[in-house]
Amino acid sequence: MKKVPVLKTLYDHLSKDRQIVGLTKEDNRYFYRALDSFDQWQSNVLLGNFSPKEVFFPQDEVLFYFKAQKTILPKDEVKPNVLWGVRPCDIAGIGELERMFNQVGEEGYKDPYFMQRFERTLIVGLACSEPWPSCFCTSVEGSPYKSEGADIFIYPTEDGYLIETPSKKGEAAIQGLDVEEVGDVSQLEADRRRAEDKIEKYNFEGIADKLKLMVDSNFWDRVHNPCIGCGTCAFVCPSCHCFDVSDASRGSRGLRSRQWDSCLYEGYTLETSGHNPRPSGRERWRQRLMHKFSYFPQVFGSYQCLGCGRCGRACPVNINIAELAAKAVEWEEASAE
Amino acid sequence: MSKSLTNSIREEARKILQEGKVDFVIGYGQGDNSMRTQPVFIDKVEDIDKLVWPSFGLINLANYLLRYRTTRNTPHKIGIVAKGCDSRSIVALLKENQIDRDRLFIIGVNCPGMLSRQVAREKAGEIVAASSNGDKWSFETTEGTKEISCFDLMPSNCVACRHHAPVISDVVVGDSIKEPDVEDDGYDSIREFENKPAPERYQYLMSEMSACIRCYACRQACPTCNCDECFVDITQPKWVDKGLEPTDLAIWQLIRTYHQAGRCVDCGACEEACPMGVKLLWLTRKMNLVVRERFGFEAGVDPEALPPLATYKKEDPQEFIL
Ligand code: SF4
Ligand code: SF4
Ligand code: SF4
Ligand code: SF4
Repeated sequence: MKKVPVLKTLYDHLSKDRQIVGLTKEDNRYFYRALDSFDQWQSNVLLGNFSPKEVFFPQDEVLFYFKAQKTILPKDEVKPNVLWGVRPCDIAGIGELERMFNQVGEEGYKDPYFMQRFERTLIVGLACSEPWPSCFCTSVEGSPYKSEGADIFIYPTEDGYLIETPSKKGEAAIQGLDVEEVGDVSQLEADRRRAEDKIEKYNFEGIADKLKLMVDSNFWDRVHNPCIGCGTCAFVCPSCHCFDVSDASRGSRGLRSRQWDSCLYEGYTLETSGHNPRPSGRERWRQRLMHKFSYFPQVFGSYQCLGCGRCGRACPVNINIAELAAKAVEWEEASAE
Repeated sequence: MSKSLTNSIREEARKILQEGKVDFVIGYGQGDNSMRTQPVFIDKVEDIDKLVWPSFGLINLANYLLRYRTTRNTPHKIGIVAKGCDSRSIVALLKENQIDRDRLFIIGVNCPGMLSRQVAREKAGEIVAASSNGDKWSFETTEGTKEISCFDLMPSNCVACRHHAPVISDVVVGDSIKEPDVEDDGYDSIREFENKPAPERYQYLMSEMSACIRCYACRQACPTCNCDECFVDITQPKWVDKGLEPTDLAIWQLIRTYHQAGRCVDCGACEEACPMGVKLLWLTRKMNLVVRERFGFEAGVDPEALPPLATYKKEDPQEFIL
């Protein structure tokens, strides 16, 4: 592995011909935005209010403009980006977005808006030596030291930063960077264990199959009770990808755009007839948990929750999805006995 | 968490459940940590200990009564824990015929005031863990440990509160609280703000409203934001565009505020629910002041009085009508 004494060296190297996007502070809020300088970067904050989802899939995005019968595509974005200092759960979240918006096979859906940003972005990950109490990545196949999905991955150590390049793209990007080659990286294993041990572990054993059996379960009758259906959890989630499409026009000119949506909204499944197949929080929360812990694993082989814990932190009534998922497992185990 | 209030609430809840007076009790429960509160619905005496009186409990429980509103014909008899402002919301809902009084059992609480997570975030920064030692809270943040006294963690609405006691209830718990001097109506901060130059006020409010992400948590947290279909969700006709244009955001906030005229009880639930920490109370409190000065009305305080939007008096001020 390679090593640099200070991170700014890597930052400066990458920023030569790329725009760096990292966590910035706006009033009391943290977002992934273009950085003007290394010092602007909020290195102590693990997770922003929003995840880097908005870098690839902004909350409000123009799909095309129209004028009479003509449609005009929005202007292409310019500089290639570096997504700087992303934590492993958020990197995994980007992977989940990719599964949706860059589907495999010829028939697979490819979202051009997502793709144009995704393809030109270099992902620089950063290990979390001090996880937060709300983190639970280790319960969903993640780890605060997982480098998978990143192009470049940084491990903080006592006297500098170890740099790994899991992808060819990452390897190429650090060509010419002044580094020290390090042979013995056994300390990393101990650091990883130390960080992982700080994280609360939940039992999601066999959850995808268990949830399959729980469609009509009484489990759902109560768990949704505190939820006020505000949709915040989906907005802050790195992997929630539902959107709604709307037009804005004046005369024959206008634009079509899309905005994030949430399955916890009452109107999400409301049909034109007035019928709503998910009439209450019961069905809506069942959908949320099923989607993340059963449907997604069944279809794509991975959880659609990466354990960042943002939703529970942002939720006005502090609904903790990990706790709910673990309770579902317990419930099904108890009713199977 | 106050031990004595917690115990009295549990005791009253136990009684009404045991006597079969209600099917369940809606109250406050403990969240992930001492700073978090999660409402609970208790229908078994065994679960009574899940009820607590929280420190950070800026959630208006009357909001949950909308699930059992009169038009939904639900059979439930409901017990509800209500601090001063929640009880005012209950009155507001009763006046609008949203809920039935005879299906409610109200455990009123003489509320000493709540602390706010928004205020804590504003003063301490990004909080990772929190603990309290009586008068002070200690926050572990991304910028180090910070200590803040309880008094400094109160939200603007609790500081200004003049109705700590429930205005409607079937039983009341907690020691009665002396209301501040009537001369001081609690709106001084709003008057101060009004005296700032217009461009400054405009800039401040626009910057707050531009931070909105249109999640509608504010609306969802509010008991009197209870239209079957909110104007902002209606697509035919579309009253306001769906995106994040600052003017659309401002229209959303301003109209929501107007719709609360004579109905907002200043519980602060909207502001506390907002994931972006938008300072919504500047708008609602300003409007409450206008309603009070022009129509002599405060929402949910007098169970008999008709709300200004539901009545007409010849001497109503109307110089603002263009
Ligand atoms: S569901 Fe919650 S914890 Fe899981 S990835 Fe989404 S925001 Fe993070
Ligand atoms: S953030 Fe919480 S209250 Fe809002 S929709 Fe999600 S679970 Fe429900
Ligand atoms: S903002 Fe207005 S229309 Fe929307 S729910 Fe509230 S009162 Fe109703
Ligand atoms: S809760 Fe905050 S962000 Fe959400 S709609 Fe209301 S003001 Fe906007």
